[in-house]
Amino acid sequence: MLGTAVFLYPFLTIGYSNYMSDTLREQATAMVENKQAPPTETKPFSRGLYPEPVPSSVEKPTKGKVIGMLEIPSLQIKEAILEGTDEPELAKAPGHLPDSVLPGQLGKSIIAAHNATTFRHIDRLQPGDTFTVRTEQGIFTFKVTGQRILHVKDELPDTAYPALSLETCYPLDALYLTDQRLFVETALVKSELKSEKVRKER
Amino acid sequence: MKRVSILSLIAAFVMTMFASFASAAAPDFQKLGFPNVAVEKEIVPGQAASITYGSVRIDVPADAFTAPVKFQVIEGANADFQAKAPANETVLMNFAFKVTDKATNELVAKFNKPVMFFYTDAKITANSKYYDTTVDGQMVVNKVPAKIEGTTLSHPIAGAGVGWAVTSPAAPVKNATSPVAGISAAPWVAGGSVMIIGAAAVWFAARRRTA
Repeated sequence: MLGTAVFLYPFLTIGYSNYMSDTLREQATAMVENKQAPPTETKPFSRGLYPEPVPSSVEKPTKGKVIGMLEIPSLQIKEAILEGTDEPELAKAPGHLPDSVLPGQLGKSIIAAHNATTFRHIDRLQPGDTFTVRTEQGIFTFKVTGQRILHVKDELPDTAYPALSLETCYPLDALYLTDQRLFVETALVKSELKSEKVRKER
Repeated sequence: MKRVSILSLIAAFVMTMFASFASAAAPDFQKLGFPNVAVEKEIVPGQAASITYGSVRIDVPADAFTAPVKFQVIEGANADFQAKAPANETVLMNFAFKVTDKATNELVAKFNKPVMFFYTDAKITANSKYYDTTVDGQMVVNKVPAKIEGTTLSHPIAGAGVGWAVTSPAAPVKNATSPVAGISAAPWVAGGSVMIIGAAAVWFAARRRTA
């Protein structure tokens, strides 16, 4: 019995992850679509270096909370994003690294997910591919700029423009814990910020 | 006589090259990676002017131009220049000039006197660098080092033949590689298999002994 339980543990984990993903996806959909007015037009942004970022004054979400939705149509990914990248969060859905900025803010935001589940085929994203992240602050379109593989002791450079990195363990087909990470690097190319009024009304 | 002729030829060649460079039209950087107009101002000869936008100030001396010009500061996506920058540097900003003679509608490549560029950013340090961005998209450190005072970088600019980018040493994203985004399936499956096989072996051994 014990041996069977140990043998099945990883499969049960993946099953739990899939079950929770469905539940959280519904929560995220409700958060970014149903409960809010449509995003207002992006106000003119005078600088041409990057699209208008989310203000840095936005409050940091609490750990474990749904903060948005990640949609990568080319990989059939439509998943809730949780705040936090510890095992309890990553067992359920992609997680936002709390030490990084929120998606759409100035700097590099990081969203991590398991290589065995959500980010299994993330290496298929090529420069020029786009995807969206919807949060309470608005809808953000990111364009893939490249990929990099880092050792866990390496450092990932920050940026002076709104960027987002999708992170997972590497190799992607590893059935064990690895000391390498794959980062798919992207840059914000379009931001549709919700107006301050809409955010405050919520 | 022969030596004089060769020297004359070399001199003529150098003068021709210089003349052709000097008279060359400015490249249109709006089509070369700087599509966005950040600010524009009409500059009248004999009047000094100052152009400001965001964290940038550009001082134009009174005698920089001999005819009225439309002076545009243009920008490109920082992400595009980041891809060309050294891995350990962060591109803070980029820009180019598009200066158009209002009478002839031609781009002005060279200024009579250099304009002064000032950029203020909390990320400017003593190790910040000032790059030329060439028409073929390369980033080359400008031969004249930028002057850095506190968090302000300044540099004289005598023409619009290249674009420019400012970088600072890259700061890392804290704990970027800390998420454990893998599932340790193999040890569990292997351990479970060993336990099942062991249990089966014990069961068979016990059964054989009983029999």
